[in-house]
Amino acid sequence: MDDDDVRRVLSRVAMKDGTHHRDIIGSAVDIVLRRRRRMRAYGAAASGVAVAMGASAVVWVGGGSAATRPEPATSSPAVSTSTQAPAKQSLWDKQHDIYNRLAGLVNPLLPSGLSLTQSQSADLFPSGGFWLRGPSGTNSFDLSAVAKSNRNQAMENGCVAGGVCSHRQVPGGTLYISTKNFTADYGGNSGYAPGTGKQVLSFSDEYEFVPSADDGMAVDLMMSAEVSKEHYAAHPPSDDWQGQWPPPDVSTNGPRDASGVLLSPDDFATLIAKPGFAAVTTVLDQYSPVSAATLAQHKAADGTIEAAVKPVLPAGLTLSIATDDRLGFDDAMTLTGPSGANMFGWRTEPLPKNWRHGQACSSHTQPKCTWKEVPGGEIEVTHSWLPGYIGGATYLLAPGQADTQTAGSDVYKYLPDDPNGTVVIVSTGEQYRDIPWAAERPTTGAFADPSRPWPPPARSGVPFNAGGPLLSVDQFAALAQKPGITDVIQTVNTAVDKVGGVNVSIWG
Amino acid sequence: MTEAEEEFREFAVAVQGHLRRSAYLLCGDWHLAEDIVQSAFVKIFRVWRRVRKVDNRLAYARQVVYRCFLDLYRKEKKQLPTVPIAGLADQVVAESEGGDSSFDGMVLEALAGLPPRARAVIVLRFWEDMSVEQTASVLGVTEGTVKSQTSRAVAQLRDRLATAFDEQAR
Repeated sequence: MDDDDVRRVLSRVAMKDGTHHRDIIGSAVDIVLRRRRRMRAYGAAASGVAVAMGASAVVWVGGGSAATRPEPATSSPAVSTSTQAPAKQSLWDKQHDIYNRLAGLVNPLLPSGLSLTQSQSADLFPSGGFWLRGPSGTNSFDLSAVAKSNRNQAMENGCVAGGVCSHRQVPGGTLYISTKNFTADYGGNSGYAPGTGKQVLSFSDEYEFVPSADDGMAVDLMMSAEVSKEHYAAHPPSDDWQGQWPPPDVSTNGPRDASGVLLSPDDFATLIAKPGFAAVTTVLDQYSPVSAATLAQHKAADGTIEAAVKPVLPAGLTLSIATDDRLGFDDAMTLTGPSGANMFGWRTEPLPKNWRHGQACSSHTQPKCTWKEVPGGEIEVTHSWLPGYIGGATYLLAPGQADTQTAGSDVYKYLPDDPNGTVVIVSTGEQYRDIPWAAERPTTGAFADPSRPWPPPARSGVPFNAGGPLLSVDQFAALAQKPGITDVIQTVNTAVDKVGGVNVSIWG
Repeated sequence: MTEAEEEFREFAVAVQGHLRRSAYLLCGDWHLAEDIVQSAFVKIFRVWRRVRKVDNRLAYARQVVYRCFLDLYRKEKKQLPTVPIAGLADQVVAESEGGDSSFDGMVLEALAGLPPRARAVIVLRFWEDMSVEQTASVLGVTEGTVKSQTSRAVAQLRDRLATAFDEQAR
């Protein structure tokens, strides 16, 4: 029995598919959407597989963590109403506007001894990119406001993933409160010192004000912090353990406060009742106009990008910050040419260890991966595409159009032969064909509702170019080998997002 | 449905078959395999805005599935079907019209007899056809660990499956 035999028996067993197929995709989406607003704190990132999703009993918790703070105001909360029409501005503009202005508006309203600062954390940018600082430490501070009709009602349905939930009436509406502690054994009691499994390592608290008035704004605040460090046992939990013991500390730079939450529910109720808070909700409202300073920041960033790429981009192509909702992705820019536009992003990374020329595409699972020899290295190109309607609801499409490809994305990768060289990666994507919607309105599903227009737009709103990628492989090869390309990419990516780059993290 | 959700669903539909099979080889139970893949999808969708442009998203998803499996074992090791898989083999035999499923059951039972990480090493190396370096990267262990666990696990599998394989080969 050799290695090929092992492969053969594994394939044979695995390919005999089980008969039970439940909708694991829909369930996963549902779980995430329900959790999203409540479990963003890093404590929740350790939730893993076995998070209890059942609602726990609703238990009233009175008072807050800081007994000396002021009592709630008796006036109605000073939240504004979302009555303004959508302005002609991009998501980039709105998110940067919040990041630029929020601390200045909130700080005068906070209890004495507390202050809000930008966290400089790209991961939480922008509305959550703040830290609340107090005498005992720091909490992450994620404040948002949406029109009451657009709220997700997650907190009104009780605790999604455990913790303690309560609600009470406050002037002008209802205050929902959720507190959750994450103990050492939350993700499994494995390897902790005896008696420390129930030690609280972090917390994640959330308050949400829901106004009584239908045209009011719902205001949500999430705070979290590390409370204490793990205490590990003298030995690993099993002989099967691999790697360093005890495990390295991975949370040294996050918010930390041994005393817990810095702003109590009463403090929150007081905060939103202050007259100055209306200006806060106005800034948080996605439809409110951004400041002239932020628009100028956008213009300056585009100017920086234009100047930086001029020496490296082919003639006729220009690069600018995306004006749709792609902020935060690594293709957060738009490449524009004479025939249309592409989504565009780029980055550099070190050559993989032990890389050898000729390995391009060797480890790829993309259905279409091609490579090309170029002086000093090779170019790898992977292509993927989307069918006519990417939600899988093929009944929405014209007959025979289910497999029609309408959008694609390409990743170009320059892999140098020099072991100390730098890999240059460009990702592009675009819609290149109109979505072939069915002529007749469907009789089932959301689009059966006659109030929804049918057919939907044939173009989704992302950059469109009938010819696909604007950058050819040869043009990319020339670009990747331009002197100083690494600095150009760094300059451009910094201009797109002044907070920093985007890091992919498995555990979110 | 948002554009991001639509994209995620399209990706998940494309990869779920492969991931389910991988998870099945790891745990030996289709229901549990679906639990593992669903947990992986939860993790992936949570960070989809960042994952969506990873140039090898299947590899990324695969890594999450394997780590979900190891996490699950660490948390609920008493409930994983290390022993019940023998029962699964019996069940498969009972449901089978021929001897093939019996052979499959023995393969699953042999896999279940391996420690979880060794099981993952075997499935990554011989089902996913990953290199030693890639396997080490997915599991977060050294290449030396992958080599030694592969060697021991294959020897163990060979020992457990020799009879069944010989019978199958005839």
